Amino acid sequence: MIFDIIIAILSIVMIAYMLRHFIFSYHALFGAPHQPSYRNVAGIYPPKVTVLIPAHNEELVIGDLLQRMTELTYPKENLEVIVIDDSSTDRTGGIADEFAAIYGFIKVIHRKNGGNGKPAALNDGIKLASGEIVLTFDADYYPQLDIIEKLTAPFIDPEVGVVQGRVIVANEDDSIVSKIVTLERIGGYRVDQAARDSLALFPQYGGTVGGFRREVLEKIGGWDSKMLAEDTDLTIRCILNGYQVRYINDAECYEEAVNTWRAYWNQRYRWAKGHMQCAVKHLRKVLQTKHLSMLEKVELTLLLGIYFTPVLILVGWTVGVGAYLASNKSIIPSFMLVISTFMYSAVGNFAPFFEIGTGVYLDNRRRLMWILPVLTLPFFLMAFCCTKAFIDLIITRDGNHNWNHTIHNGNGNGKVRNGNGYNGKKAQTCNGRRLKP
Amino acid sequence: MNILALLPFAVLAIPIIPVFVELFRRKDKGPRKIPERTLNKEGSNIFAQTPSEDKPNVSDPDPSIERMRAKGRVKITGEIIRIVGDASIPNGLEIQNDIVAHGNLRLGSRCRINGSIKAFGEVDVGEESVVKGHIISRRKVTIRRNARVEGIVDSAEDIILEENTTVDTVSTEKSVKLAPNAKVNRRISAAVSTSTIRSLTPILEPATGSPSPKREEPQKVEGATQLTVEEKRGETSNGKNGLFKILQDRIKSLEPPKTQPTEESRLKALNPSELAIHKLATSGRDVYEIGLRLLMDPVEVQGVIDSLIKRGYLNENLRPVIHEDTEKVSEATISETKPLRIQREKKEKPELEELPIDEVFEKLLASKLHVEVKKKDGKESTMEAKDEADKSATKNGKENPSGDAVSSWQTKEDGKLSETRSQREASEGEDKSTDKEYFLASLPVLTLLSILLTEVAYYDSHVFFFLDQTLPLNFRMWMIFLGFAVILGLLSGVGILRYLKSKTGSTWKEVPL
Repeated sequence: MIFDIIIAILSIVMIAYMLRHFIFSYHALFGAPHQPSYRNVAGIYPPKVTVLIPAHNEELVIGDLLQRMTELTYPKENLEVIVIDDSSTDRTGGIADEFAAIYGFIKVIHRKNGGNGKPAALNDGIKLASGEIVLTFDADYYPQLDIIEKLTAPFIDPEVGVVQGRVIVANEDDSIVSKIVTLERIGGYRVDQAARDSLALFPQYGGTVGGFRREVLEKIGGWDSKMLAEDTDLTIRCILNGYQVRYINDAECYEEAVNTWRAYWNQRYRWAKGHMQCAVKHLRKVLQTKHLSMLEKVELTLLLGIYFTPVLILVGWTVGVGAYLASNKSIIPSFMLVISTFMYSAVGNFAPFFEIGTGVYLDNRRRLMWILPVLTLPFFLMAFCCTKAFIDLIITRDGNHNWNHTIHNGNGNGKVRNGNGYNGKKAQTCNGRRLKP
Repeated sequence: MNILALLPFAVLAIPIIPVFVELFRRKDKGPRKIPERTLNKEGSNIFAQTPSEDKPNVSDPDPSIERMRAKGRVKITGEIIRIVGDASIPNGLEIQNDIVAHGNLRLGSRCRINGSIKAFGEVDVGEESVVKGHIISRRKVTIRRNARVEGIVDSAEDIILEENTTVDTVSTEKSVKLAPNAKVNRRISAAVSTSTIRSLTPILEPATGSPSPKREEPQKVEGATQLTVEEKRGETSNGKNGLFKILQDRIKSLEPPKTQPTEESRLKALNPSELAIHKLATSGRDVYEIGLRLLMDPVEVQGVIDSLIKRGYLNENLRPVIHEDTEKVSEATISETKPLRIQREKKEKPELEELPIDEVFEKLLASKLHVEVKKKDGKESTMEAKDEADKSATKNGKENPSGDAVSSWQTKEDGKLSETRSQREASEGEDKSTDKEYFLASLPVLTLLSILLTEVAYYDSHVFFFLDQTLPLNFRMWMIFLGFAVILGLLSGVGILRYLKSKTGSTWKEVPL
């Protein structure tokens, strides 16, 4: 009986996630937006913008991004770029200094005593920022020329506190891992984030290619350096303070995705642990807050709990196998129920195949659907990765977490910049700095 | 072990085959190429000079002015005033915050909003009001005479700019309608059309010069303020439209004059720059803006304005002063103008404080009556049945159809003046739809509950043993629960689909607070 109850609870959770993903996919395909788009005013509203670029040992990519910053169409009088050299031991700081010497709107902060990862670096950056709007880009990113205009347009709405743009993987040919990340990104942004925005729910600030109203950042106390998923933490705090988060699908930016399983594991482990931290920190406040409707609370709870589902799946597997080995009679007749539930789980929660399929279809890359079954690999991997993160979170509940830095080799923006990243041609490693005075 | 037992697992390999095909013989064209830019060049460069047709009434397209204007941005305070339902802001009020209204928002005249406005319904910015931030609405936006919006006006429906309005930028998915002398500083973006319109509301004629249109005598005006609603109703026994017209005229006569030009003969004595400053000052422009328009130092502008005040061309409120001599010369005309001027001075105070309740009532009545009366024509009898409180009103309506609405309004006056019938109907409808939504939302939960009960009834049949005994034939409780689960599941699916379809038509979600 105990096994049945556990499985029933797990089934309810999984079905909730499954429904959520179904609704998002349906809406992405057929739904009309429930919120206004501010595309018409993009470029008309020119607030002072500060772009923060935290960088730790990014000499292979920082040059390309800074060069891109100089090419942006946003009026430079209203643009300020701050590179936060976070105790780099390579030429990152030097490259940034060279750019700063030529372009007046680029500034560099050299953090000598680095630590606490990206949130602490960003907090140092915000002290120097003078913009009304603060945007963040990771060093391996390579944005569109008019991305700032698109990202700042929604801020004419006084309720909007946070915006998020879309991320496109530039180095998807590198390996099967980068292919998987590409699929996840397509599903996550083109369908999940877009549907959440369109349904007036809560898109999520992803830590890069997005930004905040500076006043909101100051009001909520900036980035929390104890959080591993500082972006999710900030998103939730903004929502709890009554601000809206908007996702701009056509504000696109290339990124360099991880291309090895180890890097994938490390990155996902950090995200999982960070999300779980956020869930522990905010779940009660989310449920208690008065300005959110019941539907919004449910959605936010599901969002916060998304990295718990792989843990539940692993528990489900264990329970199922345990019940089978213990010759529990009831598990045999309900075998089909269990199997069907977990088959739904497989496509319904962490590896939302249909969401990704929808995204791939909407991106007009139908051939990419052929590799959708590969997503079962990260699905199984995540069950163990998230469980480890969960256990580690319980052990290190004091908040002392290590910050794993993802190493970038320039295969992303370098390829885009060299113009040979398309049509399946062999990747060419970027040499880093390209200074065009 | 028979190796054929592994055959079913081979089925699992089938979906993997395309993966290998794609990985080793790649045909996918990736990564997707992001366009370098998708916005127009003009849009991205804010200092670019907009084409002349986009700036219909800008007298001076000097780029330096554009630059100066572009820097005057709104400061978002972070504190938002949220209003659920319709809202009307009284005349002369100054608000420091952003406003988010979930219904229609009407700003009275001479209001000053130092933040932005977002409304889910229509927005009406009153005369001579100033909005420092942006205005966002999904419905019609009307900017009344002499009002100024320093930010962007963005709407999904028509935007109407009346005379002498100044707006930084307008953006709409429908049409922009511009009255004479309306000014858009930077860009007009209209998906359907941009058109010019005539004056929407009558402009008061100058005190002297050509004969002014017929207006009620001052005595009449004073007397009319004392009229009760019953008297008004008696006057309008001819018909509903007659009553509406009388009330509308009455309200127009109560409206303050917007501009009251000084006599032309006196203005001839001014030099061209003084004349230009006089003109701009009387049309509600501030010193800074006059400086921008005429490319003069604001201090210099202030000096000229001071001299105009000293010389009697303007009063302290920057209104044109009518000379006493002129009044003597044309007494007949002045008799019309004088009370208006007095009224205008009165209006400097908040209107709601000084107006008697009858006048407020009349104003509300005139604005709503026409719609209300038309609505009544169609569904008088149904309203009788629906609302017991309106029964007496409907009785009056049989004798006097226009009195129907009036008495209906009287009923509201006794209780809550602001709650109109249409609002109440809407709220009732909202309640019903909310109930329906709750019901639909509960269906998936009930489905899951039924599944659980099915499972319990199937595996632990002793729980429902007694109920099982009562069922005929070989029916068992788990079958019934399963039936429930299937039906509820189907209903949930249909409900979700219908909900999503119903949402497809709308473009805006009203988020409940």
